Amino acid sequence: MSILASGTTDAAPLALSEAPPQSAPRLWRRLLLHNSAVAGMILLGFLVLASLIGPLIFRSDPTAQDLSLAFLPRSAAHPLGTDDLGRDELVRLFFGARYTLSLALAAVALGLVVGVPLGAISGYFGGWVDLLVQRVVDVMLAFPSILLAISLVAALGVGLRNVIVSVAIVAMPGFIRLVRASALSIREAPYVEAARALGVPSWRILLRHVVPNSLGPLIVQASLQLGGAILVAAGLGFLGLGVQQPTPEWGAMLGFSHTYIFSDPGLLTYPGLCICGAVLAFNLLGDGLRDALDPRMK
Amino acid sequence: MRSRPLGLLMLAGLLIAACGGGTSTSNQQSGPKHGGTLTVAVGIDPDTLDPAAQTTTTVQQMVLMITEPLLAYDEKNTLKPVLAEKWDAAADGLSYTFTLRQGVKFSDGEPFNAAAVKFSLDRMLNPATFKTQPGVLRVIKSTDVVDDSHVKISLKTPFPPFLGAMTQAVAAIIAPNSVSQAPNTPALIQKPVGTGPYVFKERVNGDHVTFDKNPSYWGSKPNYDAQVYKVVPDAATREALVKAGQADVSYLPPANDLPALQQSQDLKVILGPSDRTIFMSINTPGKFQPLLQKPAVREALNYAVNKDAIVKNALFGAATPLDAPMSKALFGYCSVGKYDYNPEKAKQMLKDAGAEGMKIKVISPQGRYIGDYQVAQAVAGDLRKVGLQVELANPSDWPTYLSRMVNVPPDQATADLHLLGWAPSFLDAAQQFQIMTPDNFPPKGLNTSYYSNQSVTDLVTKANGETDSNQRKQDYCSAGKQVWKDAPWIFLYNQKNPIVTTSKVTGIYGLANEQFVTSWASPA
Amino acid sequence: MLSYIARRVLIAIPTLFGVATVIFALVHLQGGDPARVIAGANATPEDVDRIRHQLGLDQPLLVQYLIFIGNLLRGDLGTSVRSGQPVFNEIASRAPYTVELAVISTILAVAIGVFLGVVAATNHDNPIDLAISSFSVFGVSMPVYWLGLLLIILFAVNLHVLPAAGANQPTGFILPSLTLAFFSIGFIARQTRSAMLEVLDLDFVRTARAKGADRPTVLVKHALRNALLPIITVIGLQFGTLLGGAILTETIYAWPGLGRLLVDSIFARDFPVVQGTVFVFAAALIFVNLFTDLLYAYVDPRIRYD
Repeated sequence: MSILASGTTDAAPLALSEAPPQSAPRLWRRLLLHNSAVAGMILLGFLVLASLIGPLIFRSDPTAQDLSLAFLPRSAAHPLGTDDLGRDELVRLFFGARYTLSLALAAVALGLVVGVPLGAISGYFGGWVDLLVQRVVDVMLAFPSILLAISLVAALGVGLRNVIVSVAIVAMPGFIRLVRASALSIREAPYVEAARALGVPSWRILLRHVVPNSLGPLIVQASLQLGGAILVAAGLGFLGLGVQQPTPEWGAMLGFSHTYIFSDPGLLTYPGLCICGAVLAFNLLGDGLRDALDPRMK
Repeated sequence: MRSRPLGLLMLAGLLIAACGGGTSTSNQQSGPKHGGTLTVAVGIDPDTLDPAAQTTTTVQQMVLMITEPLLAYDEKNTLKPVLAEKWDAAADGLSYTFTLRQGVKFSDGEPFNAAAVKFSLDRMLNPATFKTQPGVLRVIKSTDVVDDSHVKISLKTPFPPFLGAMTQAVAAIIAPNSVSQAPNTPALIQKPVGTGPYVFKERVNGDHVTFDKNPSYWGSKPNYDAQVYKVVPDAATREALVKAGQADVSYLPPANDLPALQQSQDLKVILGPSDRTIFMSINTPGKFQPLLQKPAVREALNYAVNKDAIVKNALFGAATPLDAPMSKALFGYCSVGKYDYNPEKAKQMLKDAGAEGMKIKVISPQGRYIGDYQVAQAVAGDLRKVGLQVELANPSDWPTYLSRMVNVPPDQATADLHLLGWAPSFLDAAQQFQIMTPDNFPPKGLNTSYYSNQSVTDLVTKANGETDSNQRKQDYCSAGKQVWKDAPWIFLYNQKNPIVTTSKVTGIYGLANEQFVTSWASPA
Repeated sequence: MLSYIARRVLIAIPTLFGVATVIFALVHLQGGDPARVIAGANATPEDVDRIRHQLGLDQPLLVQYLIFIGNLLRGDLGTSVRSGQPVFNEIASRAPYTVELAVISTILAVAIGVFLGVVAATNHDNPIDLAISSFSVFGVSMPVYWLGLLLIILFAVNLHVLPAAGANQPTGFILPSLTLAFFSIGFIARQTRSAMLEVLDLDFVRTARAKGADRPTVLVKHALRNALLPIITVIGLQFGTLLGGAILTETIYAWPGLGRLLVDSIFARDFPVVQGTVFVFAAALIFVNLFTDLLYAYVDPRIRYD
């Protein structure tokens, strides 16, 4: 389910891959009827709004620092106080929403961009390509995901870009597996065979039939992975291997301030709650999407 | 160095001190309480307890509870006898004769004698010993047994800081037979056996090391029956332990917790001394910013930085601003002045040198020294206030910082200024000037500002071989003055080492080599 | 079935080889000269060179790789450059602590998770369900080390009832295993709930209920048993999470397991230990996945493998 649960096994049922594509309006209607999906969407909407509008209201620089203003308590000038380098905590949280959400989006997008074609090709063509891709996926899945992320970041170096790349690589096998299963299931379908017989090029079949067929479960998986990406980034942040100062990414904020838990616990509580909220939103949304896409649910 | 008849005097002093803090049977009532277990939370999991392979202060401290060197520094940074009662240096400075303490036994019953000293030093110098770290003690040519209680150490060249170097944990004396008792091997010791106040009891890798009181210790008897050094890497957890009363002592609390901890009734903060100088090393060849070749510009940088504010705001008082290019604790220190905070003067000097609005890049590690990145940010802020265009790079972890950014040949330098700390492994200016002479340009050494001034190099070279200790002191002092004028660094501060203890413990003190001595702690 | 097992085991071999190669590449891409780091800041250049030679780091990378693979095939994981101990011994001395945490956490997670899931499912769409579902979705959304610190402050600093850190007290395992289990509790509860909901709706359960079987019997004998399949899968999946979570949890609680060994070794650039520990983690995960699949096949004889 989430990125943290690596190791989808061969025998694990990919029940979702059989879900027929649904029309968008119908899906939307079903989502709106789903309590947790609505909660997730509201929460997410709020966070996105905060990341867009917050920085416009508070125009100060989230990295502007003044050591003489460090660890200030809450006040009108600094509604959530200031951090260890005298930066306004609220402003950093607002900017943090941007960095954190973009980090998750970028990582999952990268995972999709590489994983989906690989999975589609692997499942559709089979043969040695499939064998090769699957063995690579096996190797990737043999690492607990945070461990793989740690090793990758340790090797590539810390920082926003490398965290995104690492999290994307960690998310990739899930996407590959999913699309591959879907490709396998329709490879022999009459309409695909018909298309093949008509001489439609493989890439078009992949694009027109294979990928759309897996869209539903992919959306669910991607939504859950977005939450997972934020948690992995936070875990890296704790070890000092995540996004680095002064970038106000929530995971990094939580990680770098964790020694202040006694003197200034707010510096942990605020980013901690933000992370919780964002991951919660993606999880709720993912749940809602899954149920809405599940033909058995009424 | 002259002969040291002081040895006996010092011994007397030690005995008095021992009685003052001690357990002499005659005044049992007024003596310290004893019994029980002292639990100490440290952040570092010992790599190895083999005395010969010691590199880390905290681990050295553990090793020195079990094994002892011939002599040691006391709280006043002067040498005191431990396993040697006295020592004499030959007039040519090429050999030292140590008179050993009599009647001392290793905790396994072996007698401590000249053969044991020879065995230990030979083993430390033997490259077959795992990760052995002789460092400057490579100067030893041979160790010879004169008789059971006298040992003569001959040097390859005169090396006046020799006695200081002999205080290091690598020179601790181990029981010769113990190295072949499993799990020890001659190449690697896991359970050191020495003459110290405590004996090794057990170690659970990554969790704790337990020491038991050595009932037959030759000196003043330790008070706690046992001491447990618990390995707790996370600073917040470590502090939680002492707050929860589950540890008696906790190392290096986050600096910003110091004010609150100092006010707490149940806890005490001890600011241990340290010989570590923290500075912004300046790229003196001016690889990126040629203006930095000018001493006047570098001096201006020194005037521009508010050291007092940094000590107050970033270190919460756990430091003193430098007044020489070395810590007060070193032999060879003399106060050479101060660069008072004077942004106006700095601006003027920069203007005169044509360095107004100069661009500079600053780098810093994070998590290596107390408040390191905060300090770098404060320095960058101060430099911006005098009109410089300062780019402070993102912090990096220590291994990357050290080997990719700092300890690199001049042509691979990555920044104009970088934050660095230097802690001599023993209290002698010879150790400090290591990083100010051209023969220690990286990657050979850590002269990371690539500073080179012939008069400093000459003075230091002369002093390093000078057997007259007053002359030597003077030479270092003069060299220090020159360095201060040349300003290869922004001189920042001399760090202190905080630890927190519960109010139930007393008798723990710090040494300038950053070690804390818990061996003589007692319940309050 | 046998051929299925054989096939799975055979696949594991190239996977392990791939894992070893990836580990080697990642470790040697790491920045920071290990010899320099190990020697300490005050070491002389000779010290550094000697250590570099001892570590074989002065050899070409390909030679180092071949030596690594060759030793691995002989079951030799090398020697720690920090401690001088064989890596195998280092891992062997730490592994029991991680296994202890993983096993206790799994038991906790399964017991609490399945229980909560069943309760939620049988109280479908009432406040109890809502409370449990909220708790479980919250559980999978919390950064594990933040939770860890909060638990330390609550139970050790404020309430003085549990040790904050370390493995040398009998109750030391409670907070770390609880922290580690937290994520999995939420996850398993959610999966159990949905699996149960599906099964409870099926005809045979309804029939059993109609025939007057009492509630616990219906739940355990009919519903839970048939919901077991997805639950087992989930538990298997959780193992990777637990191993990963152990890295953070062990650091917070100063628990002397493999996760901490790994983190310490990464920061100390102790390449042989990093390689060995990661390899053991990966091998454990491969083994557990294999085991889960086989168990899966055993529990549901309807599944055929060819």
